[in-house]
Amino acid sequence: MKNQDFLIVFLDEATETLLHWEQILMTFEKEGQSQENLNTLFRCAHNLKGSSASVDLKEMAKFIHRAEDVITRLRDGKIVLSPSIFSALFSVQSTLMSWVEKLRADSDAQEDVADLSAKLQDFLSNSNSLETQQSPENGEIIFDTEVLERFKAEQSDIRCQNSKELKIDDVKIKVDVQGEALKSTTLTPKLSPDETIRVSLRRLDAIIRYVGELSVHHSIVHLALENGTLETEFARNSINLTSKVIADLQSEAMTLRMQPLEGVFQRMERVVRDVSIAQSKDVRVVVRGSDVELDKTVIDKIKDALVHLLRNAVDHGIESAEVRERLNKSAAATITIEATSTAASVTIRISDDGAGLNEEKILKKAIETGVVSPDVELTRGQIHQLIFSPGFSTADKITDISGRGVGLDVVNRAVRELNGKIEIRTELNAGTSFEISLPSSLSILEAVIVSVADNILAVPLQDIEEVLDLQKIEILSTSQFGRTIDLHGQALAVESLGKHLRMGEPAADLKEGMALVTRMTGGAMAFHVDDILGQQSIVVRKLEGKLENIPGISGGTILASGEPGMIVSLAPLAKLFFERN
Amino acid sequence: MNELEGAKKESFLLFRLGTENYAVHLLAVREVTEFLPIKRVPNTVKSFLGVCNLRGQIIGVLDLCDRFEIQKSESSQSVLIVFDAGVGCMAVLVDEISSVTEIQMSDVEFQPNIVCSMPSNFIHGIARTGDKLVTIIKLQEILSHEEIVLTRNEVVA
Repeated sequence: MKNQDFLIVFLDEATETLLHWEQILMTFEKEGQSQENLNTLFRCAHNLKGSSASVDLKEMAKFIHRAEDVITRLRDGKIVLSPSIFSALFSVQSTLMSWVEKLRADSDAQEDVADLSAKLQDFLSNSNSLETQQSPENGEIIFDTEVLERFKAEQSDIRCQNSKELKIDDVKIKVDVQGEALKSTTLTPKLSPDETIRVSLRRLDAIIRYVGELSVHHSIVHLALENGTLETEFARNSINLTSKVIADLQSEAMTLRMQPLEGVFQRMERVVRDVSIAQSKDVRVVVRGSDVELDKTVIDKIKDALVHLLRNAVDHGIESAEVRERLNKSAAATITIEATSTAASVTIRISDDGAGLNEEKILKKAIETGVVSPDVELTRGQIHQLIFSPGFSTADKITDISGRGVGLDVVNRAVRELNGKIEIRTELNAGTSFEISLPSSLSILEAVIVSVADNILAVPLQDIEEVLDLQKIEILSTSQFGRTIDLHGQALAVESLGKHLRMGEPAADLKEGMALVTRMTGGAMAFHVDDILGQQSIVVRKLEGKLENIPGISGGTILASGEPGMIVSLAPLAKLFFERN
Repeated sequence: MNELEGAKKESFLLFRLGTENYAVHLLAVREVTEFLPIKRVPNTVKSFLGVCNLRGQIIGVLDLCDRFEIQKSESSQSVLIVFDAGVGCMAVLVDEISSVTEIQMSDVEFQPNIVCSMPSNFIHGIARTGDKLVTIIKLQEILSHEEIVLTRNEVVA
């Protein structure tokens, strides 16, 4: 393993430890402090200090060391956990988290910790001064080069090494660090984005078992082929079992990318805590379904949007204590974060018992800013959708937290990019709930297989609103500028898919082929294809390199025939069409 | 490409396009495979033949003869050479694989003044092996500069 890999391992581990840290602090807040929690917190800080020193992040180690001193004193009852210490511990966690994130991009990144560090020092100086003197000079991290070397030699067992070998503080090994040893750990500045993911051993074992089973069946079939006994029941049985094992293996392998929502939910909870404290609101958070799993890519793309929704809920949704009292509501507001899953999708619901959306105010603001014209009649649902317009905000004053109107359209965009849906339910003075449905995986897609000018293409089912048999549809006009059909009493443009993909005209006449109707914000249109060959679940394969940026092509797949097929997204093609007209 | 220069011997994969002999550094080659069924990809240029299924991996195929307007030989065996083009694999279609040969790097003429179907910025040098003159080409360079997407006004031939 290179030093760079070494740092990546550290960063992943640090993120995990810091999340744990945050969790403990939040438990403190809910349930009060306990010795056990203080011990865990100490271990977090201690491990983090050891591992940061081992990857030569001296400044970070120094900073954590100071925080660890404070925690040690808390644990030993030498200082009392005051609100200011408590909030400092939260700040240490967020500072370290942002430091770790910076280090991912630049291995020399620094974070300004001087103020916070001084604050921690104050806590220490205020406690028993005798004790303070006994601790090693603050921030001076000393480590045994031998330990460091051993640590480097056995990187595969880092977790264990951290706690067993690198007890820098406890054992107080005072050996001069030779410049050489440090130089060898100097890291190259840029990190490769080699992401890692946690996989349960159970899943990994299942996959290994399936692979083992496959190779057994393979050798049976192989032997039968050589002996000419392929037609026996024994060999046939093996062939049948192979397909079963492959199906199991595939579904198990797909789950490898799935991650529980726990981490994101924790971050959301933290945001509620921070914002409600900043605004002196009393908010209780109820979390349900944090074990629901989503594809890691989906989680990464949606987490910022979710955090933003929470920020908004506390800032705009929850009323001030006085207002709540006047409305006869309980003093403490409740925000519920809840996830449920079905076979193909996951629904995340964020609801508050706050003020609800003020439809009148939204409509007034929308007309003022020209988002809608005054003479249009809108349904309640349409009014709610207005809050997703870019730059929209009804906040009377801009706060630190929200109100600049850059938020909700970002949420909407993130959800749409993932082919998800977002729905709003709201009742004035009773609360608002945002319900986001997302596909649970991006790697398996329901698709319609079509043929166009002798090519076979897959079109995602979610892109298609309706499939029309053109033989049964009235053609309104056919001209060189375009063809129009009558669909439920509305004129609809029909364009040749082959022409848009520049694969040639469809073999079938317009009167004979099929049409795929797609709808987007600009309107609806249909694409003419020769034939529909069927509908099936396809495994999406990412196209690499040069194939990545072909217009209209969103991915590749291997069709049942074993031939490669392209996945065509209708939305970008329709968008181009509307732009041109 | 300093490692090519000097007196040491290096291995090259020799192949034929039409009647011309070419060579690529063997280390750049991931594998050589017989011709696989190729499916055309929408919105791409004619010299980009499409994609093939190489043991479950979807790989683009570039027709080198078509790209550099070389007359295909009649005895073409159509072989695919698969390269790791930095950001994913890419294959090129050639007429025939001749051999793997070691070439003495001191025998390579690096700035040859010759007429050949390949633009000079893609040529690394010329070497003689046995009775043949081979052109050593920078295939990685070709693959990374190749634009396969049709521009708006182009039409499929």
